[in-house]
Amino acid sequence: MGSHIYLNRVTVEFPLYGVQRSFKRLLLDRLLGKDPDPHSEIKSVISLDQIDLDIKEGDRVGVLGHNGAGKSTLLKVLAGVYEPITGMVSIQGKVAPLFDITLGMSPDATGYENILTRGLILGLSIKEIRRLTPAIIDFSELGEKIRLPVRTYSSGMLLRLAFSISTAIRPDILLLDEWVSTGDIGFVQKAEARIMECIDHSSILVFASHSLDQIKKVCNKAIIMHKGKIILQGTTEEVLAQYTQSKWALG
Amino acid sequence: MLTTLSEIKQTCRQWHFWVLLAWQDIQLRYRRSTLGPLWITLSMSVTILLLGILYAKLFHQPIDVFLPYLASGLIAWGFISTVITEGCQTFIESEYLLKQIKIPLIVFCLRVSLRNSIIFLHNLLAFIGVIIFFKIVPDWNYLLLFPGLLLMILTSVPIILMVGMFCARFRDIPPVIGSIVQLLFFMTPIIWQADLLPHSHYIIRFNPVYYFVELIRKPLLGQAPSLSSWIVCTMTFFILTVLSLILLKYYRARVVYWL
Repeated sequence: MGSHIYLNRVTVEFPLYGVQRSFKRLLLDRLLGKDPDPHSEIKSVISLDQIDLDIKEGDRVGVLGHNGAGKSTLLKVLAGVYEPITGMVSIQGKVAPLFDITLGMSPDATGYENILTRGLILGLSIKEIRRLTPAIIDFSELGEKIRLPVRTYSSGMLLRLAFSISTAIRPDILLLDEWVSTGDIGFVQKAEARIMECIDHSSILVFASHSLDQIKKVCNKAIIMHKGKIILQGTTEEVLAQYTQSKWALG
Repeated sequence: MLTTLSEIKQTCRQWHFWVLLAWQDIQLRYRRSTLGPLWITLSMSVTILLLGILYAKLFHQPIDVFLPYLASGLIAWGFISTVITEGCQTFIESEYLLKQIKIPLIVFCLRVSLRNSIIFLHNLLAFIGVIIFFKIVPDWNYLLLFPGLLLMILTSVPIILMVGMFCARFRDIPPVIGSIVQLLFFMTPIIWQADLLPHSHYIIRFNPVYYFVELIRKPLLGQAPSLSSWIVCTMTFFILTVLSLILLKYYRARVVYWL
């Protein structure tokens, strides 16, 4: 069964609750039979507007667009965080979102314990975590410091550990919101190779980025988003050509 | 409903995750403290001691009867009250996590329940002091503590879910629930003995918390909880579970939008 992502007319709308957050206000209004104040009606932001997407096995899809275009929201829909108001989402394959590589890590826990926590959040089983732990420690270059609480690490050490754990997984579908890399000159080359290895092992990659170079390097297809809609889809060459041409038109 | 039920099944299979979260919550509170989680036991013991002596005097009750009654009631109440008040923050406190990765809502309810169950067990240790001091001999009724405890812990899960969802949507509710819980403390026979009022009195009869406290208190005092306690608690569990399954079905996907 191959991996597959299929979105049909997916719309995501975020309600902006002002005073609607108050239950007392809701009760009072209902009891007093007050007409709802037109200014107090729940406003909402349409973050994704009728998105159609069909991503097949082997695709590496770059997602371009300005801030606020809906890139992150789209990724979160693919991650299963937001279920859309309307439309259908059909995803086959195990999804691993790598938005925050330190997600789930606890400063008071040791590096070792954090490998367990982070691994569980990434959806690994205990057996898999135990199997991967020696390689993870090895790659992070932390050595004996793995037994110390993470709050004693430098930020570089923490990120190396987080990166090492996050790239040890082999998901079917990999979601990246901006490129994930870290480390000093010595480490960063190793890190680049490792993230590429992780991408190569996955069936599908969806990668949101502002960096055209990264997208050109890694993706075979690309989409451009603008105000919640996909305005352009195609191969990377086609899309990038149009993107740079009309970038000024998009403002 | 199928999605909801399959999520629950998945959560039970991947139990390591929420067990770890609950354990981390407790470690966080007591790391780098001298006694660690035994602070919980100590604090409960001091409360029992001080309240016991004071209220035994106020109610003109013999201390060897009153103090075990108070201690067992307080220990049970500790779980019930905390589960309701902490339950308010269930989803609010995990906002960041919920918005980054897909996690079934029930995971967070189980986490809050388990963390408070572990704390309950630490509080229960304080009763050992009571047993030793008042020379209570544990009898076979103590075994009834296990099913009673299980029922109480299981019932806490739908309560946490409902309270958590309600508070995630309406942010002015947590203090209201706090006040209601405080009132419940005085309305439930914990610092005052239930036999001060006839059992048919509505404050006792229609107070579900009373029956749950009895499930824990009676065995600890060497008696069996009454049949009505078992019936009321079991029915409460089933009704609340059905209600929360319905809530999950309709609002499961909405919670993350409320945060």
